[in-house]
Amino acid sequence: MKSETRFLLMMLGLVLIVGAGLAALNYYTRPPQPPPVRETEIKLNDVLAPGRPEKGNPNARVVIIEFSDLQCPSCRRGSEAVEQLLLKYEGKIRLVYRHYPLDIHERAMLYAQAAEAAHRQGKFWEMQDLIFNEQDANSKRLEEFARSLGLNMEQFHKDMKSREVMQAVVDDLSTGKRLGITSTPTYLLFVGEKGQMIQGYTSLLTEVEKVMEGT
Amino acid sequence: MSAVKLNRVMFALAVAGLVVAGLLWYWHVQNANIPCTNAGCDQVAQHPTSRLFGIPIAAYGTLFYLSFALLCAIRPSVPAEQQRLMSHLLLLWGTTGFLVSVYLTYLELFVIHAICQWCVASAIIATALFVLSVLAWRQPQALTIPSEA
Repeated sequence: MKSETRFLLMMLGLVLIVGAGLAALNYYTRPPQPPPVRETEIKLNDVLAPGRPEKGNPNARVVIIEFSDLQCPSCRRGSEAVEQLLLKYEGKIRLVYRHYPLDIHERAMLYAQAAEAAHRQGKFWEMQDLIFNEQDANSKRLEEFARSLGLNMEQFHKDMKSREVMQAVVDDLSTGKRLGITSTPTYLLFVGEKGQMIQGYTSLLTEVEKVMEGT
Repeated sequence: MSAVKLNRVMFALAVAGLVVAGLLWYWHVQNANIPCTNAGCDQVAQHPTSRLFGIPIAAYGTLFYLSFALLCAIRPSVPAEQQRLMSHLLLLWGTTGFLVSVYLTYLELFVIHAICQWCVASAIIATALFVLSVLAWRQPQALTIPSEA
């Protein structure tokens, strides 16, 4: 092997070793995972954005902001649990949805786009339920969902590919990342101005019950 | 530019591309916010087209630049009669990288409607590698190291 080859291979090896070392350092010095329920300084107005899908009482003192991924099985169970809460405490809870499609779920972004496109025609929750029911739908199946909901298909196709829909999803995702969310479902539970960040729906159920017992 | 210098410039560019693609791959896997002056990087990284067979495009980019750098590194040690084959390989690899970069830039501009500055940096590096691989392919002189010739 000539010295030029040796030199270049050494340089390449050096870059790879330094890169792998920095990546490992970054990975292992990450802050420890936070507890599933913690008080937060985040203000309600910081996480509310105009035009996000919501249901329940818009003037309720108890507000749940749900960061969810439509391909995540735990989010499906979380959605059912939140639905039960809305029924049980009718008129006392406001639920706001925000997208948090995880990178590990191949179709999560596609599902978020479809739900957001349906939201443009007032059918977000219906589309969410259809997607959650299967969670392995492809583009063709999503079209069938849209058709079954009576959506204007031309508009749906246009919205699915639109910059605005993509931007809405990315804005939600960026907000979630800024707040330090790393898993789904993650909820922000506000009682007035006091907020808690909650990971997982079982912890949410417990915390909402505590809040409701106290009111 | 001499064949040796040209080879070193290609090697340096491939290593720069390796760093860019490697960082993008790491951020993608970590689901981290990509440092960018606009929202374009996150928008591109979250788009369904940023994966192929479930693997981030940045991973393929990392392998591309790594193999290009390796080709440049072993080239000086290849016997003179096989130097032509090496320059064919470099040209093939450089052209592939360039065409893929053109396609990815098209996706950014016309499908995702967002520009990721790191992807632009990678596209510029891939284009430069393509131009230099053409120059290396056209160069009549064999790649020989003066001190060892």
